[in-house]
Amino acid sequence: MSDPLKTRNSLILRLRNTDDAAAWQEFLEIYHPLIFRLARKCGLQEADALDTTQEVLTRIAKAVNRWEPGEEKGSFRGWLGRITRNLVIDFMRSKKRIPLTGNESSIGKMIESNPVIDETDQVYQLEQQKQIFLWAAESIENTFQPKSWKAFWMTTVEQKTIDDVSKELNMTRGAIYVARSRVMAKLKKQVQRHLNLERSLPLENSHE
Amino acid sequence: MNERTCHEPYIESLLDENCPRALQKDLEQHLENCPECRQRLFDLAADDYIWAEATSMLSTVGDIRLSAESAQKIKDTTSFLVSRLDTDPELPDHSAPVGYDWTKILDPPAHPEAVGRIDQFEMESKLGQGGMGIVLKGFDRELNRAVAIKILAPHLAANGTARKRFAREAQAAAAVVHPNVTRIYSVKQSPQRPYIVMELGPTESLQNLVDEHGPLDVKNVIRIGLQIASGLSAAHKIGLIHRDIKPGNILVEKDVSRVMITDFGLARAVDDVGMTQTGWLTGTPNYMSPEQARGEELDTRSDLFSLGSLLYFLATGREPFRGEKTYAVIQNIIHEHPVDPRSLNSEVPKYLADLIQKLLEKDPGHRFEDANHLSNVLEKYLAYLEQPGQMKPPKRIVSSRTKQKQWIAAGIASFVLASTASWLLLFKQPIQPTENPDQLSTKTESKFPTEAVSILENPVEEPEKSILELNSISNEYQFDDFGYFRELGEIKSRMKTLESQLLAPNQNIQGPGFDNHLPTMPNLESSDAIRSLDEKGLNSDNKLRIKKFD
Repeated sequence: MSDPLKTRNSLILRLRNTDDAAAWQEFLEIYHPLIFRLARKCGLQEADALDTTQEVLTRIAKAVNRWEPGEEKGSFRGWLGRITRNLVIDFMRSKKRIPLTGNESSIGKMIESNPVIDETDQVYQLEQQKQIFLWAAESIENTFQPKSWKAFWMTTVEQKTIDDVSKELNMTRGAIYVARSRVMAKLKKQVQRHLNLERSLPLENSHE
Repeated sequence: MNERTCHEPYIESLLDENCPRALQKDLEQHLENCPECRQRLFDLAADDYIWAEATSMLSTVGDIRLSAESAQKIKDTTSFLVSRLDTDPELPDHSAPVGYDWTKILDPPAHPEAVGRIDQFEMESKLGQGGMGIVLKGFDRELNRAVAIKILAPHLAANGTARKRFAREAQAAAAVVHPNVTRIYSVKQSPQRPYIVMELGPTESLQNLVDEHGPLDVKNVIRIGLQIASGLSAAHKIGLIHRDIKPGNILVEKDVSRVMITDFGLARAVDDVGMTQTGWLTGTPNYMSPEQARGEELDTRSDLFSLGSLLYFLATGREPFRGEKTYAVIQNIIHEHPVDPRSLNSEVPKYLADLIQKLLEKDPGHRFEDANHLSNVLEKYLAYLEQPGQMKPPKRIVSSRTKQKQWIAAGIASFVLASTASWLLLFKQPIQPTENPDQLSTKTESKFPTEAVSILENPVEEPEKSILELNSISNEYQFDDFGYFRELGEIKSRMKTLESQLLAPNQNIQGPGFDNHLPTMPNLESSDAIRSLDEKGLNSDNKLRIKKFD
């Protein structure tokens, strides 16, 4: 036998690396719910969607075990993101049709009106982006006072007027401006950090 | 206003959470009147399109809603998977197929009846095969004895870490010398086929046994539990955690006289992303402890939980935590309490059910202190079961769940006792209740408000019947001295007498034998009553029955 210590599993070393362990955690936090939501989007009921999610995760885990760093370009994150995308899109294509619900953003509409663009891929990207934002929001929420967080959420996500929110939260308008900007700045950083690690990203920002 | 010319230099510092308070206040006020600065702050936080993105990404998330339940499932399993990775970062490649041709890794046999050979061991037959490797029955030509040999599967042997771990865990386990733990004789660290030489134990597992014969009878459950507990205790003493106590890992003699724990710590050697071996995603994690399911660090009490699940299985033929999917099983282990084993097998005595319940406490601190303590408890119980006449019944087992029920129970029961006692004390002095109704009500109310009165307003219909029933409870619970319940019955019958006397004005309340038979209930305070009831093993079940008499 050739040197048995060198055979296989550089993976072990790699995952001893805390950076990669953190990447795995972040990956699961984002992609686990993402896979589930995509499965639901393919028309599966909750229970079936959970099964499917489990299946996909199992396959990802197996793939992780086969992964040799060095064979693939890019980071572990990027690699995980790619194999997951391929697996999930395969799965979605195996379903007949992806029902796009009405309240999609412009991307969804664009897909429907432009059959040339790969619909499945677009849906995947959209959902992925959403999930990354959602994850980022969740991960920073508790670093803010609940009031500051609400000021951001109500003005930016729920799009209430500054005056309404001011009354509702009993905050000055000035305090709301400051609070929502602080949250936004941090949210942006968090999303960018993840995206930069995973791949080079559309969200370049000149102020960084 | 100065919109077009505002050059407020500190706007950017607002994004810094450490911005001085006074400055922030000033700037907040300035912002309210200066659209230009508002715009600058907005732009500094993020570009326009990112704000828009945040709005659309975060608000359209609602299009596919996760039910709270699913969200929780996903959260739990995510943190489980994450923490498995953190605590068990050494990931062997587990992708090789299990059903390899194991004869290929053996050398040609020297003995004509052997199927193959490794070193001085002639292999006779296969005892078992699993994800980790294969177990063969062999014969040690040098020492002239039959042994069991576990050979690590080739795909694992090729993995340096798995191989080292396999050897390390086996070496640790070799230090355990106990009749209920499979003895490890030696560990061979060859890179091609590392193997362990073990004592040749029984070949049946508890899983086979229950699969074939159904639930075991109580004494056998206790006997087996006792042996496992004492084997675990020996291992725990040297800091060895089994991690995978389950029926398949306990070997048993045909007559159930002796069981042996196998595979100490070996689960850890082939932990595949923490998934395959512990059952996540591929198998069934039914015997995992909640801390294991959450991927937390384990101590020896994790084995106690698994043993609780195992005893439950032996007694009922069913795993306590089930689910069609791994998700559900993990959820149940972490959050749910199993159904009372007595509802699955009515022959399970309450004592055993309580014992299992205590092992299955979610909080390790609520389980038995350690395996040694558990084995003492089981030993006493077994002695009692085998010689009920001669042995004292064991002390009741209190788990946090029974405590909860009992608290309510004891509360009501103490009420009955205490209120009755106060009445008796009251009547011991020959007062004339009919002549002094005010005194009566104030006295009772001062200690036991309305309920005391209502108990006495609804006295026992048939005291004899109550006593009979109490006696039957006492039999059912196998307590030889059940004096308190009898006393309670007597008190109640006395109450009946008293009541009739109350209703008959002018009659002296010194009933027949009243003074002689007064039960000893000296100055019962409710806390004493609770304690005494606790000691006598009064629990919610018989409590309810008592209540019925009221």
